[in-house]
Amino acid sequence: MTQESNKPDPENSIADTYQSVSGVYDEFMTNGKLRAHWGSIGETLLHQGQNWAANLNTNVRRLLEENAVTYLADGTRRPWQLDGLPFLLNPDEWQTLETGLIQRAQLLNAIVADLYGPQTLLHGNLPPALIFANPDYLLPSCGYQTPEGVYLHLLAFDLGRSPDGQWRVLSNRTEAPSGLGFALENRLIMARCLPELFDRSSVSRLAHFFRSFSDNLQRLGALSTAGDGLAVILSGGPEDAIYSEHTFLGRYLGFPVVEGADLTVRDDRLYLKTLEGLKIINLLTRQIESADCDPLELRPRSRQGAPGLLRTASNGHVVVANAIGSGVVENDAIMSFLPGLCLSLLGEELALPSLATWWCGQAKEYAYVQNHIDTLVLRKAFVRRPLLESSVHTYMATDVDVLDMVQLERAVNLLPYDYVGREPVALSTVPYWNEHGQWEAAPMTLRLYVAATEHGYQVMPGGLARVSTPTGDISKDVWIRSNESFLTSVASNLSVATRRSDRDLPSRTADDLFWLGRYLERSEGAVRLYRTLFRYIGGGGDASEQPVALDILTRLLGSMDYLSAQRARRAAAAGQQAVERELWNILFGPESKDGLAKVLANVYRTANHVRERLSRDAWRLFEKLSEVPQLRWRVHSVADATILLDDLIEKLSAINGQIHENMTRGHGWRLLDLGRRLERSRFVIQVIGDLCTREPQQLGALNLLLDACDSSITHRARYRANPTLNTVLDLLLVDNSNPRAVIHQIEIMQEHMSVMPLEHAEKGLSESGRILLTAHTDLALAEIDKLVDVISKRGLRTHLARLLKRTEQAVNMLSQVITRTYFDHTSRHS
Amino acid sequence: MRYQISHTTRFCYEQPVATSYQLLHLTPRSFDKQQVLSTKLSIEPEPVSFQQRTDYFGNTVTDIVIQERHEELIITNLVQVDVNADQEILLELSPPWESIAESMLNPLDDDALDASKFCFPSPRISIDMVGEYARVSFTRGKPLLRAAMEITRRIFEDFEYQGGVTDVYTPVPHILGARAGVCQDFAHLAIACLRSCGLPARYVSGYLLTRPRDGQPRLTGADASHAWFSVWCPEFGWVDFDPTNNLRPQNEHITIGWGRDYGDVSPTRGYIRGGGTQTLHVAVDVRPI
Repeated sequence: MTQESNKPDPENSIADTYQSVSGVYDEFMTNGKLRAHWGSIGETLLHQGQNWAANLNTNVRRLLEENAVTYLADGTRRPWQLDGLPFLLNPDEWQTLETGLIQRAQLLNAIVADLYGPQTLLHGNLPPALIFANPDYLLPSCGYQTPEGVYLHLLAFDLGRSPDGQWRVLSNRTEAPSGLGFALENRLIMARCLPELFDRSSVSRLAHFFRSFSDNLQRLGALSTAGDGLAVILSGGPEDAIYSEHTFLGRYLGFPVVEGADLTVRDDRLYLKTLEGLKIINLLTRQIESADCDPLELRPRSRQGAPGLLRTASNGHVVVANAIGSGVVENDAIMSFLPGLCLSLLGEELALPSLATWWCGQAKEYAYVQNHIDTLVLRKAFVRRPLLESSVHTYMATDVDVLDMVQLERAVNLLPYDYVGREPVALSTVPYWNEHGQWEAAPMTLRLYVAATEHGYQVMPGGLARVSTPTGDISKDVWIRSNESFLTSVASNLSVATRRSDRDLPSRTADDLFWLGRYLERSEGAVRLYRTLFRYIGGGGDASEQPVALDILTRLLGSMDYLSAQRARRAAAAGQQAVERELWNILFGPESKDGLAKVLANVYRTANHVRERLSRDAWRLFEKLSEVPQLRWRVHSVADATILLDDLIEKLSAINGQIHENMTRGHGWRLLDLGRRLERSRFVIQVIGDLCTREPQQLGALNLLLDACDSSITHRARYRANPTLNTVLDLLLVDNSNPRAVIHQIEIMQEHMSVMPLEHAEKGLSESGRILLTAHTDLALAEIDKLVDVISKRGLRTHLARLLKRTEQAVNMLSQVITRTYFDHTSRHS
Repeated sequence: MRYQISHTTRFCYEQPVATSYQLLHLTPRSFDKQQVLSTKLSIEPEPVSFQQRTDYFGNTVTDIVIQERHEELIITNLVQVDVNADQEILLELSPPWESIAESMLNPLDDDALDASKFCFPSPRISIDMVGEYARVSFTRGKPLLRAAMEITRRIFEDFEYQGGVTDVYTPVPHILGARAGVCQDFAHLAIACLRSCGLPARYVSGYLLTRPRDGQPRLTGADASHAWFSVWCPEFGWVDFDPTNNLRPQNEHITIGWGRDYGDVSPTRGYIRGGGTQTLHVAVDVRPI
């Protein structure tokens, strides 16, 4: 897929069409000529025509889509935006920035170390308001110990170039710098879209940076536990705006992505709850805010962290990167103090200037802001800004939401230390490919990353350029040409690490897989019942049986919780016509709590939690499944409804097929299948319980039962006769060659449980083993004649009812044991 | 005065709790006005982990973890303490409040620096909207402690002591609107007023004598743990005020600890797995010995 044509298209090339803005620094052209450092790369790009550019950008978009690079905004998943034209940084400037940013990283780390340690800076260097009025200064973190004094393991800096050509630091990102994964994805995509140009331009590779960063994290982690331990990424989960970045980084670095519920602190150590029990963690790369890390000591009701984490981390028993509380230097207010702090802490002049900032917590600066309020940008001093916020807007506009100047002055006057005034900046521009298919100039910021390595801080030779366009922000890959020659074959070895096994399967993921299995089976059961129902409404069944069948079915749906009792009664009580209408609303109504939408939403939600464990094809099927309820407007008749339900069954079967064919047979798969078997047993038990335990037997009930349990054909093939209660019970309960029979589910569950990791911990039979063996024996010894013929005076088949009850209890108990042993890890203490 | 304090906290859970983490601020601290003679903390069911440490403010914290399934958690603390806080203070002699606010911007000594961390909004005390209420007492040149006593009296007069109107998360502006609350609300409000003027004020958690000495009225808040606030003033140090009872605490207030707000020193702070709805019963008895 190469776009680099040998024959430049002279028509409409960038050279012809691109217009930079006058009075603003442009990164690509100056006075109608290419900037010198673009060299041969620039020459190649300059003369490519519009077709080439359109192709390039289409390919980029396609790869982004293929790799599912997305983020969430306002609850919707959106594609990540990447422009096809890379941003090339001048090598001389790169060296200046590299030196300056390493110094800045050292400086910020020293400040954080002091503020959470001896606090000497508060004696004259920093006004107390700058620290104590800052909500990101976490008092419980004071005294925090961290191996080798590294508090900031990864930093990001947003830079902007002003018209004088000077790069200035717009913001320091020290809390949990984001975007590193996106930068890496951008690079992988650009290296594929412009392969020849990339290879021949000796662009610095990123792999070495990531390796040094990751090696150092693991080395520091090992110091904290004096030995082995897992390295994990702590994410806010699929609801996090940039969850896709977390999973990507996790795969790339080979660290499992975990959530708060996966963690537990015991005896001042941090553990991951896995299927095989608790595993010690010695390194936690956090993608959540500091304040969310520990609901016990920090933000009380947060669910993202783990209680006790702060104590364990600050005792140095686990490395948290970055240290909890590291956001204290991620604010505008501290900017103007950095030159002085650099002198006193490092004994050096601050190499790289920040954008001029006046913090109103000081009398002189406050006065200056008041006198220049018309020309300055007024901002809240201690607000941290997310990556995806429009980058340029952030640096050019006032973000204080006020109606008029008087109000503004009153607000600032009340809490001056809460505000800063900043110099406005006209950021430099770059060309980007706009939605009309033209190169257009737009302002940009440059985000560079600095990581702690074994040999000190290192700047990533690449980054994330952010271009602010009228339709939103677009990113660019950042290229830095290396002066050294290097072996492409070694350096381009950007392989995605594949350290993925079920050994460290987090318990929460296992729990989700278990429930995915359960929800899948439940929805299949529901859809089967709905379909049976519509078949009868549509006259598919024996007409003479119809009213009775409807009555039975609606009651059945009610007792299975697919239909609320009230609605089931209302539907059953209504006449033939009304039944149809009522059921219609229930199943397809958008507001219906009992409808398909809800059943399928449970499946989709759980699948989303374990998305990274599903194949891409399986995930697509889940997405399609979730779209089905939106098709209800196409349903006009009973026939339509049946088609829709058939389609659903088909999709569910396809998902099952995908999972069966493509999921590795690890513990995760077994749990999913356990969930499924468990739910299938419950389904069959409940349907039999509802339809068969009372005498007299209702007309048509047996056919319905076989239909709902997908065993009509099996029955016909086996008995070649109309169903009797004896044949049906035999087939659905104790015939272990019928894949729908309860006993078959028990046998499969026995097989699964026998290889689960914690089952051999005890002597003899495990708890789950005992439960399953008892249930199996119970069913195997059941005498069908007695089940059918022992009837109490009140018409109850007592043997059958008791057997069903015992079996259901066994299945429920099994679920509890699995939950306790594998998901909660509390069994030893109960 | 020597006191014997017994403080029992009982949590009842609707469903069993599998794991419980608790951070307790129940052990009174010793300082110049108070000497702790003995403490005995007992917890049922028995924790797998029990650790005591000193927090950022110098308070005694107990961290416990319980991993036994339980439907009831009982924490009992028995303490003997000597209080010697009878101290005459001439409020009029304190400096004008503006000079202290000014000194907080660039603290000159360690005491002032220590006080400065109590000048700003904290997680549970925002200072929006209280400016107007505060300004009535903080008129130009008024001695700091006199203004603090006035705020104490006004809160006592303007607000009704009433349980159930607020909870521990109720924000200060809400208390202002409701004109009612309990001791921690009144302490939060007073602190917000002082901080809105740039003054250092901290939250004090403690106990009150349960049965008053003969001939004296029973103080409000005596059957549970109590809260009040403290103001820092050069020369005087930290001076306590109790807006719930409109007085300056002396020998009948026993201090557990202090912080920026309730969140820093809440008697129990927990995180549990399981449990469903919980009910809390607190019994406090403070008697002279």
